[in-house]
Amino acid sequence: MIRKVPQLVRGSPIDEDPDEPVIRRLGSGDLDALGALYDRHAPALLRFARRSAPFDDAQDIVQTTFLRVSRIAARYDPARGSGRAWLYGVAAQVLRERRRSMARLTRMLARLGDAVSIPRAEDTPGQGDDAVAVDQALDRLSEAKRVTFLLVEVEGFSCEEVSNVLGVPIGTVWTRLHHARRELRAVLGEEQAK
Amino acid sequence: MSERCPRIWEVEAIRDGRLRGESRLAHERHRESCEDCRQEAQALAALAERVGRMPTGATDDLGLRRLRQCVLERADAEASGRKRHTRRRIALLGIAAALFAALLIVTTAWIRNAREAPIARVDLVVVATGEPGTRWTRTTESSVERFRLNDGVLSLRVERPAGARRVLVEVPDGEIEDLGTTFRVEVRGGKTARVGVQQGIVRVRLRDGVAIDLKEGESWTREPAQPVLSVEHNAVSTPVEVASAAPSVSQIHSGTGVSRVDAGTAAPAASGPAVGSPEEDAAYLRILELLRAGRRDAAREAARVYLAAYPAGFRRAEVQRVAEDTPR
Ligand SMILES: [Zn+2]
Repeated sequence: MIRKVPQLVRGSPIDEDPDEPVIRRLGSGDLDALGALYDRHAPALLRFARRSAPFDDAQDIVQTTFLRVSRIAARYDPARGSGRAWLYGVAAQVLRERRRSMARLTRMLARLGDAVSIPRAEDTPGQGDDAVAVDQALDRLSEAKRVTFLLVEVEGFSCEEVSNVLGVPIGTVWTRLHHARRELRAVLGEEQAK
Repeated sequence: MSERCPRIWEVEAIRDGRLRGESRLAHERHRESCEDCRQEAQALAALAERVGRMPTGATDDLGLRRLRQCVLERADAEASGRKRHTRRRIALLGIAAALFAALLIVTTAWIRNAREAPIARVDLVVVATGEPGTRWTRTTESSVERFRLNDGVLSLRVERPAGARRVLVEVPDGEIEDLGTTFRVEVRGGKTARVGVQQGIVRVRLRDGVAIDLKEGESWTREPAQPVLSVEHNAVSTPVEVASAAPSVSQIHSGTGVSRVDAGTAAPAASGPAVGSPEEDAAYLRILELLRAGRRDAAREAARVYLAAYPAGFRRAEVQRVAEDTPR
């Protein structure tokens, strides 16, 4: 069963991180721990990947993320942030790499001379106009700004955590956030009261 | 536009944790009497809320479970691969001296017997035979036994224990990876014309999008016609499958003469229930439920029903295992 885990309170002591022992078990080769980590985080990671990726291969991103996590779990250092933040950091890394290989795939498809349209959110039934607008607005952001914005504003990580997991100075996180908000607001306008 | 409050930037600074302590308290007091700053705070929160509210498509339970199984299986395979590797390393260290001597002998034999003789490496045996006029080379690298086939027909017999070096045949338009088998590759005019497998499995990856596994008795032949790409989307199709739809360029022929295209690369079947439909999901779920309930016979039967209804189904490979009742 998938159970929702409450977000960590910012600045809570590391020893309260429920993921830390699980990642430690995984690091020592216990693959059941991977299942536990998956059950805890896969649904949210899948949503994150769907918002972040400029194409519809969220499942692939999540799969790659968990496989990588199982390979590098032994190197996880709880002193550098929560397990959840680390997990999203790995996902962000996968997204970055995926973007590059996606560019290659697009070129290949172009060479095949075929107009393959990749399904976007607007193809998904049951979505309102606003969702499409938001999706397109996110799409126009650079990868770095989009991921930073989503990690802070949707996933609820602190700027310090994001700076840690992305390996960029905190000033960069602030700048990206500021520009992301400005660009999103310029495209979306302020939302009409409902 | 009227002049906005000069302290409006502080709203974002507080949100991002740039402004703390006394400065933050001072701003919060200011906000009580400043409409601009209050509105700005609301706008930033609304933006975050709006993006967070964006539907991300149904994350259905089935999809999550399928993905989970996939993740765990692959992680398991990788982990056992690593363990095997480590064990072998230790073993190799133990017999280093003997191995060194053996390698010397083998290398000498390899040089002397050139291409036609079996090359007995400690862990890998590859017998390669080129038909007259065939242009090809062979190099041994630490992790790959590499063949380059420029033109002609090359036959290989590979005995490859798990964890041994990979065997790759590079063709002008791609590569063919051997997974322990006997097979034959034909290259004509700079393009792979045919790959036939007598035993085992090979993986064919060509630059024009062909990516297939060929099993015993199967062959792949390039069709002379231009590729016809018919890509159809349905609810569960993913770009990965879109990309691999390209192999419709060619067909796999099984030994029985029945031609088919591998699952995952197939367009939805023309007749019968649509692949990827809710009915297919339901049929698949039924199998899982029976398995979970420990009713293996019933699950096997349900698997056969699934295979009959969805010969090109998305879970064909998985279901096949259930139908044949082989442990993974
Ligand atoms: Zn103000």
